[in-house]
Formats: sequence, C-alpha cells, structure tokens
Amino acid sequence: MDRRNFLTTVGMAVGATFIGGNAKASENVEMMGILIDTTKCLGCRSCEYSCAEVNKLPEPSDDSDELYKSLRKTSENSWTVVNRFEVNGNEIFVKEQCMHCAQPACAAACLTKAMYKTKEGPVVWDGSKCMGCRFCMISCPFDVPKFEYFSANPKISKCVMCWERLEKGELPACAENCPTEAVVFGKRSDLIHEANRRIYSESDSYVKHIYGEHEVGGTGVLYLSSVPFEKLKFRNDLGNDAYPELTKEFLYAVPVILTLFPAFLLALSNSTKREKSLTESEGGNGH
Amino acid sequence: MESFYYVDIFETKGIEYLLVIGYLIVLIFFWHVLSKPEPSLQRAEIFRQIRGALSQWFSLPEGYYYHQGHAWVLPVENNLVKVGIDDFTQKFLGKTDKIHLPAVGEKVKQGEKGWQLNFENKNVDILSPVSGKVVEINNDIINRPELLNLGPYTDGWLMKVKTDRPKSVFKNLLTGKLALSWGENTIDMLQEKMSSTNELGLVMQDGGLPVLGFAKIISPDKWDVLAKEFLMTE
Amino acid sequence: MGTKRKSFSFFASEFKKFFKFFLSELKPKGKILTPFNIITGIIMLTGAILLVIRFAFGLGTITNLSQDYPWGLWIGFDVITGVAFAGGAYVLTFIVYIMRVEKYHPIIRVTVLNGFLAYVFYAGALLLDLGRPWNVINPIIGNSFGVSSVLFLVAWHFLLYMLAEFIEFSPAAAEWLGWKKIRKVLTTLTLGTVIFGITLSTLHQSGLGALYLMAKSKIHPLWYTEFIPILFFVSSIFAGLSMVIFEGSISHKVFKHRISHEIHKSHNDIVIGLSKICAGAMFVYIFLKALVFIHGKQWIYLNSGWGAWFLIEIIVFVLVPCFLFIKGYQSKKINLIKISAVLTLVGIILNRLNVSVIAFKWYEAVRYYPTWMEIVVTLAVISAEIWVFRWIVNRMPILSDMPDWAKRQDQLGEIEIVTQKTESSKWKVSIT
Repeated sequence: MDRRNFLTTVGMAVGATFIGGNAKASENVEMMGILIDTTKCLGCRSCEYSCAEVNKLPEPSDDSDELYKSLRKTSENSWTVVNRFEVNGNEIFVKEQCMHCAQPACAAACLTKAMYKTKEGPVVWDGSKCMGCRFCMISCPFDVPKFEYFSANPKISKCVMCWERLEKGELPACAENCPTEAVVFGKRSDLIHEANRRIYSESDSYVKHIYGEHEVGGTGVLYLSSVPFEKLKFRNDLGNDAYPELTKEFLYAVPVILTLFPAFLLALSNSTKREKSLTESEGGNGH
Repeated sequence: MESFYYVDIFETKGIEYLLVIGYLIVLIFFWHVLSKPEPSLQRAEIFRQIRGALSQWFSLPEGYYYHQGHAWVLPVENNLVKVGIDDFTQKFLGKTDKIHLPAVGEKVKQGEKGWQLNFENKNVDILSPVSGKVVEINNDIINRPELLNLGPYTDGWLMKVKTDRPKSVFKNLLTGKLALSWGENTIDMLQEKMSSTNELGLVMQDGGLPVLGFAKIISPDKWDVLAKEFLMTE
Repeated sequence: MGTKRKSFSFFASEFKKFFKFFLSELKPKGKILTPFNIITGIIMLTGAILLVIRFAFGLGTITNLSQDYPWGLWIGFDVITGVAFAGGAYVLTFIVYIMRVEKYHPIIRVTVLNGFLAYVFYAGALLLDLGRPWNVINPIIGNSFGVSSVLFLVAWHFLLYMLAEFIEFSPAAAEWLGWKKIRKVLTTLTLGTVIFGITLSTLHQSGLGALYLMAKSKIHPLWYTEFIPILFFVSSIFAGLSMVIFEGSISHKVFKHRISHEIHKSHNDIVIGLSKICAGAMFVYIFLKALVFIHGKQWIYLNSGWGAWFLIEIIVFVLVPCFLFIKGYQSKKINLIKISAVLTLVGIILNRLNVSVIAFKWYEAVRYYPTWMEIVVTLAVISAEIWVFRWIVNRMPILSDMPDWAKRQDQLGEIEIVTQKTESSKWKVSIT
C-alpha cells in the first residue's frame, strides 16, 4: 500500500470512529489535524469551492488570475483562501484557514464557551451562546475569526474543520476534494511523522521545519514548504508558548487575591477602629 | 506541552471560584467570632470591679429625659416641664454653695448655658436641656442648695419651663435604652480619666463608693475644666 | 411597635406612594432650555437614532470596526478609559472607611455616586458594542461559564462592583425617601461592601489590562508587557483621583446651590491632599514603567516615531503632572493642581487608547480611526450620565447635608459600638 492510500485509509478509519459520537467520552482521544504541503498545491482552489458548498457559503469567484493579484484574507463568507506567492521565480500557493490550535487563544478568550476546542481537534463555534463580544478576534494570533459587521444577528465565521461531517464519519471537504492531496486529514501524531518523513527523504524539496508543530504551543493545521516560511508571510514571531498561558498567571492570581485582600482589609479596618475608639473615650463624648 | 491530547489548563477554575465565594461568606462569620472583645488581663479585671461599683451608684431613673449636658427634663403637663441636674453631676461636683437660676419670665435655649452653680472659688455652668420660658423656680433650692445632693430628681428640681416647640426639644433628649448607653459612655470616659490620673487605689479602698465631689479628687486644681468636659460647656 | 405582619395591601399602597413620589421628582428643576441642555439633548437624540440603525443593520453601519480592528472607540475609550476614571471610588472608600482618614469624608458620597454611574453607563456602553447583546445573559446565569476567559472575570466583577457601589450609595437614596429603618440596615453593610468593592476593583482594573495579554503579537512592544495588568491598576489610582479633582471643581461651580457648608469649607484642603496622593501614585507608576522598560529591553524601540510617542506619553503626561502635583501641594495653589489633573486625565486617555487602538496592529497599512457617529454615541452616553448625575445630586443628600435624623442615627450608632466593646457584664440601672 503506498503512502497515498495509507493516509486516506487511516483518515477514513479514524473518521469512522466518530460515528455514534462516542469519541468525546473517551479521555485518550488523539487530536486530529490537517497537513498542508505547499509544494504539492496547484492553486486550483477546489478547496475553496468545496468548502463554500459544504458550509452553504456564497460561491467564490472564478477569476483566479484576478484574485491572485493580491493577498487575500479569509472573511465571513470565505472560510479558506488560497494565496499565490512568487519566490525565486517559482509560484507557490498557500491555503489559509483556521489553525485549530492545540491550546486555542480564541477558546480561552470566549467568556460564554461559544468558541470551544473539541477533544478531537477542531475548534468550533456555537452560535446559540455567542454574545458577539469579539474578544476571540482580539486574542487570535492568526486573526482568524471573522465577524458579520452588517447583520442584526451577527455570526463569528471561521473554518470548523467540517466538524459536522467528521461526526458522520466523513472527511473535511477541502481534504476530500484536493486533487493532488496537498491537503491531508488525519491524526496529528501521524501527520507529524509523515511530514518528517517527507522532509528527510526528499530533503532538497523542503525547508526543515513543520510550521505549526510547536508554534503557539502546537496547532492542528501543519504546513510544509520549500522556501522559508517568512517568505510566504507566515509569522515567525509568535513564540512556542500556547497563548492561553499568557493569561494564566493573571487568572491563577485572581482567587488568591480574592482570598487575601478581604482578610487583609478587614484586619486593617479593625486596627484603625480600635485606635479611634480609644482616642474618642479619652477626648470627649463619642460621636 | 503534549500537543496530541487536549489539556484544559483552566479546568478547575470554576470550582476555585465557588470555593472563594464560600470562603468570603465564612469569613464574615469568622471575623465576627474573632472581633468579640477579649478581656486583656489585669486591666480588665480592675475595670470590672470599678464598673461593678459604679454601676450601682449612678442612677438614671425611667421616665426622665436626659440632655447630654447632664440635665434632666420631666414632662408635667402639656408644654410644661420640670428641669434639674442628674445624679452623676451632683456626685461629680459635690455640694454647691450657691445656685444662680434665671429669673421667672426669662427665656432659656436648649444646648446653651442655663444656669450656674457656685463652689468656693469656682463656677460651673450647666447647659439648659430645653428651650422655652421659665415660669417657676424652686425657691427651696435657692435657700438650701444641699437639696440638690439629697434628691436630685425629686426635691432638687430647679425650675419649671414652658417649652415652645416640644417635639423638636424632645428629639435631642435621651431616654430609655439610649440614656443607658449614654450613661455607659460617661462611665467609660470616667474610667479613662481615672486610669490616666492613677486614682484607682482610692476608689477600691472604699469598697467602691467614691467620695462626694470626686471631680476634685481626680483633678484637685483643674476640676472645673474637667467638669466642663463632662457637662459639655466648653 | 405595630404589628410584625404587614398585609399585602399595605405594601401595595406604600409602593403606589413611592411611585407617585418618584414620578413627581422626574420633573426637571431649574431652567430647561439652557445651552448645555440643548446641546446634550441634540447629541443624545442623534445618538439614539444612530443606535437604532446600529441594532437594525449591524455594527459596521455606524462604526469603522473591521476584521482587523474588532475593538475601537467604544471599548477603548468608553469602557477601558471610563472605568479607569471611576477608580476614585475604590481609592477614596479605602482611605475613608478602612484607614479612617476623616479629612476626605465630605466628598465620599459624590465619589461613590460617580463611580456607580460610571460603571452603569460605561459598562452599559459595552452592551452597545456587543454583536448579540441578548446573549450577555449566558455567562451570568450559568448557562455557560467561560472561566478561562479574562473577559468573563471582568464582566462578573463589573456586575458585582455595580451592586457593591449601589449599596454604598443607597443610604443617600434612603435619606431622600425617608426610609429610616432601611437606611440603618444599609449603613451596617457599608464596611463589607467597601472591602468587597476594593478587592473587586483591584481585580478588574488590572483585568482590563489583562484582556490584552493575549494580543501579544499585535500591540507594539513599547506598550505590550506581561505587566500590563499591574500598570493599569496603579494608573487607575491616580486616574480616578484626578477625575475626582476635575469633577469636583466643576460640581463646585455648577451645584453651588446644593453644596453643604462642610464640603465647601474643606474643598481646598481635600484637593491639596488628593494631589499629594496622586503624586505618590504617579511616582510609583513611573518607576514601575522603568522596571518594565528594562525587563522588556524596550530601549531598542525608542529610536522611532513610536519611541517618540511613547516618551511623550510618559514625560509630558505623567512625569510633568507628577511634578506639578508636588508643586501645587507645596505651594497650595489649587489652580496648578487642577491643570495637573487635566494633564493626567489626558495622559490616561492616551495610555489606554494606545494599548487598545493606537498601538494595536501598529504594523498594518490601514489604521483604525473612529467615525463621527461613534464619537456622537460616546458623547451621548456621557451626556446621559451627566443628566442622571445632575438629577440625583439635585434631590438627594450627596453634596448637601444629611437630614438630621440620619446624623443622629450615625452618632447613636457610634455610641452603641463604643459601649459594645466593653465586657459582657450588663450595666445595671438603679431605679429610684
């Protein structure tokens, strides 16, 4: 069985475990992920079309030439976009979407648990609870969540790794429809193995770095590239610490302060009270 | 961090907050328990004895209305009241030589100087507890000032006053439980004064009954200043 | 005295009486068509219309918010700066009720009122910024507690703090309504709510800074630091007190007819005392900033436009006012102190806007600036707050003296406390 079939089978097998929805109950559910190999991407944008179709979004424009003239970002109506880069005379296409971080900043930021990380991997948004506070947008290092600014009942829009399809045992639309298998879905640990295998077996074709392996504490979506990632406008200044860790010290301190301050203030007020009553009784009538 | 399994680093936060809320509620009760006054050794013991002695000694009968300047008011009828000075004052100051009362028909004002008591070389003012017109003065007490000490609430009444605004007058007077609180407060003041001038020995030797006119004993030459403090006439 | 059980009809009639009284009090006192009223009235009307559009058609219709700039003027100014300005309440309640420095007692009521109104209106302005405001119930009633979120903490603290401030302010309302027993109960709660309020304030003033901890990659390194919460907390001390000085001087002139003799007499002393505290807090803040500067190795960023802007914010709007406060305190020049307070307020606005808007996504080509409509709505919120403040001050004993029965309640309360402190052996009364 060659690599291609192996991965598809593994992906389908794991996907099949989602049927019945028992996956959530188990503690040791391994995170799923997506591997995007930019050396294999042709820029056909069929991922964009299938994403739009499956998620009931407006169909993307046909005019790829026009679109590739500038760098696009995802929006509330297109949850994934492909951008074209020219590096050393070569065309490189990069598919962008939510990174489905292992420790998502957006999920930690959400105060109603509308944005949450499932054990299986995808970071999902639940409209029934969202207040539209947009704190997830502030916190996300990749600026992924998008807000409907012109709606009376605005949604937060982003890629959810086709969560509903996964529960039915299907693959994410982009992974299923990629003609060159540049986008592959599977267990994150397997994807890391595969990525490393590719890097070291075809070492001329790849930069020796899997983007997303350690960035911001590890992301569900991993990238391989033949050129340094900065050239593809990937941010390399995000650090390897998970973003929720940045607020950890503050949030851990809160119960401590709630414990210490009232006790300290009570003690302080007690001590100043005693002084006052003594001076009162020595002086004149107390009032 | 192992990034193949999802770990929620804020998993216990919810329970922690509940614990803190519980703690804050318990803290209120804990503080009440701790702030009950604890007797502090010997000093408390001494004061307990003094207090025991003093408390049987200083009377504030029911039915009378007291002014913070240690004068009392007894309603007679309609707007007519009887006025005098209380038990504490007569014991504090001792036997007076002469009493200067306002003349009949004169007006007195609540909280302002009402009348004067003369002692040897010093004079003590007493604040009037009511506002109104003096309609009668006690002639007996002019001739026999010792009545003040013998019956401060009965024979030692000083004058009868017709109050002009009874409701507002009584608003500023103490009676019942409030009067008792005020009495305790006066005793506290006394205790502080006595401890500061180190006259504890004197009080205890007698078995608890301080001498008449003990203001002079606490402060022999400046007792009128001390009186002004208690009678609020400074 | 009286029966313990009160019938339903009694409560109903009491409520009707109160309602009628309240409605009659809604009639404005004084001239209606003053320039101030007209201008703020127009602003509020325009603001209301704009808000209808915003709720019907979405936030984007009247704001310049975008996918890159999710938070703009309303959050950056109304909520974050406004709450910093309300910091006077927790500082002054600490000084007056915990440290028992009676000098500042005269202004405690107006400061608590200002704090309460500020939170109601500015945290209320937050509701205007939400995409789905009706879902704000969710993190409150327990439908879903996002405990990992700093915003969850901030939201809850806002709510609890508003409650605490309301209880602290309520004795004044009880005095206005003549509810004597209720007022007594409320004053016993004062110490507890003050302690609670100070704790909460510490946490949410720093919490507002903690909101930006996860925006590490987006805020300019001169303004981003792990110590943002502490810097916000310390600066809220002198921000709040400067606002007390500023509002105090305005109220002094506008509400001359209501100011009690006590406040009038002590006003200058209070201002001078406050300037001392502000100078002290600013001194500490400057050194904290220096600490953070060194910790973050921020000197490498100084040689740029942003560096210059950073230095202006610190030097012109923190160092200079600190110096002016000291000078004003020493020479007892009230006007100098007032100027310094204004400078401080501008400095706080700058600092908060820098972190939330100006230095946020500083590297983007297209920057955010508020539309005139956002500004109008902000001004409308402020106008509404001033109107409510004026209504309350003109009727309740905030700047004016307490009614006499309230004063006596306090005095007798003190006597009871003093006598309770001694031993349990009850004082006997000899009855003649």
